[in-house]
Amino acid sequence: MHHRLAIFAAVLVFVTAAISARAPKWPNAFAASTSSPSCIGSSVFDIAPFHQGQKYAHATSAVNLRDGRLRAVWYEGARERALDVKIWTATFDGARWSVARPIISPAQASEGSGRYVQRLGNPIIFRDAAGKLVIVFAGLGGIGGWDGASLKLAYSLDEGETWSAPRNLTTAAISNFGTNVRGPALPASGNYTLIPTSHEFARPFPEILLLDDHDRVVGKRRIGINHGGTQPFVTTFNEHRAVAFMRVEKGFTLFSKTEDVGWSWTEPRPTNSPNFDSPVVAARIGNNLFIVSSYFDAATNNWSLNFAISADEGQSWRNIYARQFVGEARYLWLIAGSDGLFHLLFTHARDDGTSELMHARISRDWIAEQGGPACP
Amino acid sequence: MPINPIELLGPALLLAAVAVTLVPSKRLLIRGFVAVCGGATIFITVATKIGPMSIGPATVGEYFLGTFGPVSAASLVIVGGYLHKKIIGEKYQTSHALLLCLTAVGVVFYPLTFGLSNFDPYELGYRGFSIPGLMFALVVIGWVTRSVDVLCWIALAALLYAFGAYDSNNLWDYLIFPLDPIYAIVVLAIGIKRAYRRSSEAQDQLVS
Repeated sequence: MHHRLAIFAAVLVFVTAAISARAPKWPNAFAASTSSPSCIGSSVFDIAPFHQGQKYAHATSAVNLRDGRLRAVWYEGARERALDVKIWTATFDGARWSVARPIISPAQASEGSGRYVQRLGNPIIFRDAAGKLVIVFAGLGGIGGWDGASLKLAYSLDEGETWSAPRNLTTAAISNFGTNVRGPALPASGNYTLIPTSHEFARPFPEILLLDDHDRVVGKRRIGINHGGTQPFVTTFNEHRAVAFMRVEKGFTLFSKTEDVGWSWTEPRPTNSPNFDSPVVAARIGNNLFIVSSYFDAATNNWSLNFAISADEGQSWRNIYARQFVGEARYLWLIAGSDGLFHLLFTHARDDGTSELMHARISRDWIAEQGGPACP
Repeated sequence: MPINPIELLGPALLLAAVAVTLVPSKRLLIRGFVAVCGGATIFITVATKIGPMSIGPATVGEYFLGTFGPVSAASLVIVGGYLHKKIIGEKYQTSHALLLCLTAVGVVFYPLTFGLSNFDPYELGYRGFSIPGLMFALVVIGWVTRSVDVLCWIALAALLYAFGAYDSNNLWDYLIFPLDPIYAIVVLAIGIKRAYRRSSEAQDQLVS
């Protein structure tokens, strides 16, 4: 009997090999990135709250809609990892923000994914290769904190008005534990999407996930295991080259480069910019990088947003402006809007445990005024 | 389709195995009846929110899958084999070949997925011939050692992967589950301890 069973198993293994050989290959180019804003002839820099949460709102991300508006998503509840946390959304039409509304709850995530999701967090929003809006977020089950998170995905066919039931993304070997997300997704050739993530179970390190045009996970690469950086933010320089900046608990922001679309990365090394457990954001301006980071200054007991320019692809930064805040100011999101401005979104946490979500509009002219790359 | 019924096969089999183990009767008919009816009932209740089988807002199935994920083909073969032997009233024993294979694969694979080095073996499960090559080697081991459970393990993993039975595209998720190597190591350790005790007793008898 075991002879026949062995032959049967061997035949099935050959079928498996054929399927595995036809599985999607790693993309060979980043898709053309949207051009960075150019100078508009006036210096714009304003910061204002766009959502005054009665509770704790945090981890905003945003995407450009086809009609020119900006759609932001974040999580909000009694506090981080509270049971009542839901994912919320609002849009910005260039002048004002819409009323915020919840779109995904833990119960919906459980029902849709077929896996118990007790708490939610860290949604990122992007447009996939098929043109759908996609939210990927961390779902936490009954065990553990962020190190027990697994990713869930929901999509919208109507620019974010309605959302599909969230489904599960399997990304880790041990009970799918410990994948978290924060940085923006990157479109790649062949209708793929790359999502910077971090492995946070047992030993934290940054990774990058590959999603196909059906938003299924079809690959994953480690950015680097040393120094324990998390929440990578990846910015592309051309169709093959990119840099990733990683958050560290305390020390200096890490950076790592790829020359082959994220397949291999240089060993993460510290930049000259201090980091206090907060992810950074960056955008390309010509051959320079415009980087915004947040930092807690223990001497003044204040948080500050630091605006910097790097002329060497992220290795060293030159600060051009700093803005101090009473209370936490962190979890930045930077996007070039269709109005020709950079939009910076972040959390401003108050001492009473509540927070407000902030929106800064920044023109390229203002960056030049502060000592950044001159307007052409 | 919120919950994948095939992913629930593992927790349903596990609960059925517990139910059969707890049946005091030694009669084959009763044990078989309990296994089939109990298994079917459990399968339905873990998949739906029926009374005591739901934990808060989630079903037992959602809770199990949210905590552990779907079990591997190896787990299904072990639990299925245990259930079969229990029903027919025989003692179940996992083959040494399967225990050693699970231990060897698990001991190499899981520590590397924790980030011991930049090499990530889990990535190999998405594409290429590495993991099918490993599976072929395991088929050869199963054939040479006449271990039916090893052959069933690989055949079932290949079938589940070919049909995309789970929501994962990674071959590893069909092959092995974190509890598999732990189970294998514990059973092997117990076996080694027993063999040591037996050899000690034999030596004592020789001396006396």
